[in-house]
Amino acid sequence: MPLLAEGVSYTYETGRASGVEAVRDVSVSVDVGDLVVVAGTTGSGKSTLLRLLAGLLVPGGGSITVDGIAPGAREARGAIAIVFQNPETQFFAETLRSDVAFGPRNLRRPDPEGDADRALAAVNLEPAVYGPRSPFGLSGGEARRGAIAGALAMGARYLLLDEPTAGLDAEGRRAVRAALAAERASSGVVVVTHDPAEFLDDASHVIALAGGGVAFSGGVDALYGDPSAYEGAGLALPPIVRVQLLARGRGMSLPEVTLDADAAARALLAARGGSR
Amino acid sequence: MRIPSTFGQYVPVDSPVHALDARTKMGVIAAFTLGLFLADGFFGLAAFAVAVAAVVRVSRVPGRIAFRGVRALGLILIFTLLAHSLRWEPATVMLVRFGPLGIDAEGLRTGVFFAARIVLLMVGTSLLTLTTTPVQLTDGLESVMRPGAALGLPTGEIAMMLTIALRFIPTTAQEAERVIIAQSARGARFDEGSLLARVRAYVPVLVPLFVNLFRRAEDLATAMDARCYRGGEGRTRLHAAVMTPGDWLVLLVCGTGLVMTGIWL
Amino acid sequence: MVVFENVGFKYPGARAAALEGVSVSVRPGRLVALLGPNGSGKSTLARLGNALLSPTSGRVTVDGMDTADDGVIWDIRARVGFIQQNPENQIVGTIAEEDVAFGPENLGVSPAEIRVRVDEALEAVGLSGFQRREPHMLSEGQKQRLAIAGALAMRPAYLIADEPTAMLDPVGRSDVLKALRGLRSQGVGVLHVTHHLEDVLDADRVLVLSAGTVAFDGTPGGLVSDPARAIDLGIELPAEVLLADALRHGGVRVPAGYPSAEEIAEALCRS
Repeated sequence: MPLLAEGVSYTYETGRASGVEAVRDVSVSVDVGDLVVVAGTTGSGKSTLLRLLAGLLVPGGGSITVDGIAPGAREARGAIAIVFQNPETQFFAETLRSDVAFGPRNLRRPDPEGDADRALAAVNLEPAVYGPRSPFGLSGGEARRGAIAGALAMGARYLLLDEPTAGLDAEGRRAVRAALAAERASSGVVVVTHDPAEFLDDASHVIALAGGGVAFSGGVDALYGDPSAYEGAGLALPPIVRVQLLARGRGMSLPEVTLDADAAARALLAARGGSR
Repeated sequence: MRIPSTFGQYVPVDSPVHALDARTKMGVIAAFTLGLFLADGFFGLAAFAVAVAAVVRVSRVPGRIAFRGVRALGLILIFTLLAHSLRWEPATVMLVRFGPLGIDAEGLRTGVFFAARIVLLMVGTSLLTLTTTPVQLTDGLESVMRPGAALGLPTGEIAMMLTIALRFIPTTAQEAERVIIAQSARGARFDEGSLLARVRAYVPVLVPLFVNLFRRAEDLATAMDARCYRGGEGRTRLHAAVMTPGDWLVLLVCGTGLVMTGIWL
Repeated sequence: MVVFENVGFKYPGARAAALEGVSVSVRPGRLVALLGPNGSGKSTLARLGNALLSPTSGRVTVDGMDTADDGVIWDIRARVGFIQQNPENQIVGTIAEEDVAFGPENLGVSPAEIRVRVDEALEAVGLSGFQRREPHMLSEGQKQRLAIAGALAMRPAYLIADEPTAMLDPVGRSDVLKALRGLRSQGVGVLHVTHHLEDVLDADRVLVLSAGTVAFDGTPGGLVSDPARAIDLGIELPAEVLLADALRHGGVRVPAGYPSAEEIAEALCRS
């Protein structure tokens, strides 16, 4: 059974956003193998939605269930792993292996260090090399991946990430994307971001939030077919995608739209040659 | 969790009390405290109670807020009352008796006196933080400490440290909350097990907080260097606090008045 | 002019030099961009510019003043503003106007003058009316603009910005870039250290560092028109720039430089 949000709403009672309806009537369905991208500008409600899905907040309206039960319930412990923004600021252990093993240890899993090593390998940090190192001496990209490994090690069916690639250079982002792609084999992944461009090639579903409500919810093909609602939410399709969509609009035949410059160039040149 | 504001207790309204220099208020509070401890009868306490009520009124701080701290004193007040008035197997006549325990009338009177004094002290001194911003306070403190500079005390730097500490209170509170949530999401429990276990549970919160604090200190030092901070010497201020004739008048009149009241009553 | 003359720098105890033989100058009103992968020495060079560090070889002068001369360090820092990556860790004041006032206060400027500078600086970065706002109530982009205002209030002739948009979301990033552009048009010479070439396409000069030495010294156009070279240097060019280049090689007459999606599509459809 999936991680399911049905018509959820949430209003903060205290703090900066007090009284504002942060999330309004949002529905999401995540299954193992999915990569759901939740996009929106600051204040669109995406971070709130993530916390609701993780069971950290209880919806004011609607319902959230993971495998049929509430995500915050005792029985659901370990079903969902969440990675917050800048997770590398939460390191505390002497070795990276020990830090990554914190989650599985708390869940009383039988082999926390084994879980840690597997997770480190999944994010392309060689366990023998990185395991014994201090988490505080890692580079930006390594630290980010190490922190993500901390969540992967919990063996949860659903993985929620808030801005997992923010602040990383190109190589770091590629490494994180690769790790998430590999995780899809055994989990459902939800990525919340204000810059979804790099995830569009991999996404199974895209949700665009604006002012707490859903502006767009559908597959990437549907998004490319009609990006107006998405753009209305303050988001912009990457220029390379716009080029391909514009070309299609002018009659050029493009079987698929891609973020890869070389592939796009080949396809466009072929289509251009064909239409001459 | 409500994030504490740097302004803590400060109530932002306009009043003659708010407009007074921080140093004036500090001086008056000092005189108030001295006078209060010199007073030795209920008549004296009553006079000080009237003074406090009058200032609360003039300061336009809502009474509810001004007396908010009294609730926290509840336990101390009850303890004070009991400490002075409770007797075990007394030989003399008691006001009230419950089996072996007795409440002594004279002791009760003393207890009420001390309890009332505690209340007055709390409300009176809290008027300082209710009507003065933390920066005004640190500026005032720095000014008052200045003679210490002659003795080699780094008063400017101490004041700067206090200001920076105040500035980062809400930020650090936000960070602490973030780390607690993140570690909880990884299954950490802070409310299970023995006392020792619960204390140890906070290690995954305290370590990251401290690491970030040290990083922050380094960045901040660089930023301060870049903006030409070289200690307290020669710094001017955006809001230069000046003791007006009105300030001196209030300080003198209220100050001596309060101390005299304490001596006479 | 801020002049870096053949500067080298080695951190104490380090095996290799962080910088070697770097020369560049920043003139008033000009934007010099400094790019390069992590560890290439960009931040080190930035800190040499306002005497936070002293070169181990070569020298750095600011309007003739040598940064190695202890006697003029504070004059140099008053002349060269500096902002860092982390917006939070640069803010000292309990409310915005007190933080902006921090610099001028250190310089002994009169209270009346400080007031004027604070209000002007906040206006220049688009934060008018934020005078009494507490820092923790600001977004990251607003905090970074506050930091810029704090530097501006010192009336610097130059500003060094070390990856100012690294920790910001798209809106914050765009606001900060706008503020920096505003400074430049006011005649401030800007040295902008960044990972994002697209943020500094209007730079007068681009320097790319690699392992402490200058690997490229030219204009943004020079990098955009030679994507293979840019990739070699560790610069990430946006996908549409790479696409435009590949299309050009395929015979499509795409406009030079940094064409928009519309321009590229237009060129494709033209015969």
